Amino acid sequence: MTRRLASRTLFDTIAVLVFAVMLFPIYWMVSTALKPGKEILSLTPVWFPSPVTFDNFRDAMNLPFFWNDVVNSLIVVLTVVAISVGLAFLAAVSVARFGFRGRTAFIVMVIAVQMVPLNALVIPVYLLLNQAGQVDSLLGVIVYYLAIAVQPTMLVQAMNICFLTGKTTQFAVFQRYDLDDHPDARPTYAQLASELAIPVTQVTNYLAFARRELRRLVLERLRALCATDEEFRLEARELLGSDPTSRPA
Amino acid sequence: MGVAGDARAGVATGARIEAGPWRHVLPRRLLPYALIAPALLVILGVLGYPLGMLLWLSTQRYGLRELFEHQGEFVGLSNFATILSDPQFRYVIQVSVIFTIVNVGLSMVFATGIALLMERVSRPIRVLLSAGLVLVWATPVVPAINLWQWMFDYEFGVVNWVLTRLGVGNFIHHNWFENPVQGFTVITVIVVWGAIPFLALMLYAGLTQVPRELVEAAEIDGARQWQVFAMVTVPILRPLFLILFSLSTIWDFGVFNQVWILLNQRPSKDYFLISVYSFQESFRVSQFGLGSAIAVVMVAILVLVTFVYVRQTVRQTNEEAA
Repeated sequence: MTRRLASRTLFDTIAVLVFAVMLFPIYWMVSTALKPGKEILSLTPVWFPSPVTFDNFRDAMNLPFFWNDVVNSLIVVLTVVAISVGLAFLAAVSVARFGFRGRTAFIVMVIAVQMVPLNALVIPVYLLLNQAGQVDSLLGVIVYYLAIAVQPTMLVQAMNICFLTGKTTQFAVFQRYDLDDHPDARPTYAQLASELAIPVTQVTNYLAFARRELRRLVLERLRALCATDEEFRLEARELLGSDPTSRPA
Repeated sequence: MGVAGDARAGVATGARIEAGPWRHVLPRRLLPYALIAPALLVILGVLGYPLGMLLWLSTQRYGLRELFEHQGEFVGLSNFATILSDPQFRYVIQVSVIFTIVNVGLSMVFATGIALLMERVSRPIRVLLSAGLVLVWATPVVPAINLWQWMFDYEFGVVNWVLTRLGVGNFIHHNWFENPVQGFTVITVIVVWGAIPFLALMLYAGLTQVPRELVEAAEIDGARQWQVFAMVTVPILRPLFLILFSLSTIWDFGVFNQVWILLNQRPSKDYFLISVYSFQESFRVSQFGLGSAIAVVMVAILVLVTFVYVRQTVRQTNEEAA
């Protein structure tokens, strides 16, 4: 036990050191901002600003065009974030919730888009903006940043897809086969398979999975509700038509 | 199965979403396509079209005159012939490749170390460390470079003072950028510092997903810590490692800002990484065709290197979906 405690203390110490090294530049930025000019241009570094002064902030904000720049940044950020999050959300819903022809191709494209180094696109984007007379305009910046922002948003989306697809397709199979009202007839396995773009064997697998999960959830809820084992067994037999204790749930 | 009928009451709300107002506007079959259409349009518009134009530009003579006339002159593959026979270009490729290997290697090693550390420290320290990493991550690139430039300043820089005090050598009034090896060391420090937070947080998130049972089983079988890491953790996290390696390669091979800003937008030829070289040829020498050809070579190298990653990821996504 003491050995474990010792190693934990060691790791904690290393972690604090790592923290200090990683964060030092940020600390240096903040402390320099709060120092009077004499302490900034000092041959021996001044570690803590004394006295703390906010003159630098005042001077920066009084610079010509400072607020203009802030407003420009806000315009670009808000537009780009709104557009890229919106687009990525819609696409993510589509890929995670539906199976359709071309789904894999789209996923491949989203992943392949990560491979495009954006610095390589500076030249054509500049020429395009130049032709459109949008060099030096906010619209041009927004368009270029859209290209930059779409990528990470898509990456996050692609990750979500990886987590989402497995379970949502299973639910979709369950819903279409077991839950939906079927006025004429239930869809066949083959129909479901082509509808969701999955192999037929997976339809049965997913159905079995969804039913097993549902059964597990129902039993869990039931056990919480019932006072005695006997009552639980009776209720389960009533509800599921089988004895939960006779085979592993 | 009696299960289905009894479940209907509980999950019916989920089923009813399908019958929303959209059903009347769009057939169910077309809905998924309508949903991906905007994203597809933007990807093709802001990435696909410029990429195609880049390819086309690389076959053009496109200088200042052509810029004003909006009309290049087709020269076939002669731009590629020019750069491939240029000794400067060969130097740039060599430097870029070495720079990328060193930077990706260091970033991954440090990030993995920090991720493993985060798994082993006590809770408050973990919260502190991850908050710190997020803070570094959130620092915008350009101010961060200015900040490092200030810390490495030859006269008032805190780094020179600390190194001198630690007895590493006499760094008073030491100019880091006189010697390209030292200059690239500074650039590497900045790039690695900026890359660590994302990589470490992703890897830590991955580590928490490694099943406890497997680690315990390995430990019971007598595996040492590093054996558990090499034989259990790494194989399970292989896809994550692949993604992070490829993304780091793409980012580090395309490093531009660090060089450009640190060297006051006038880097000497020693400091040309491939994207700096491409930018220089295009916007300083106004040879947009040549610059594009360099960029195309850059994309081609990256496509080759990261091909493995795409293939792996696609295979995996298919397995999960199928």
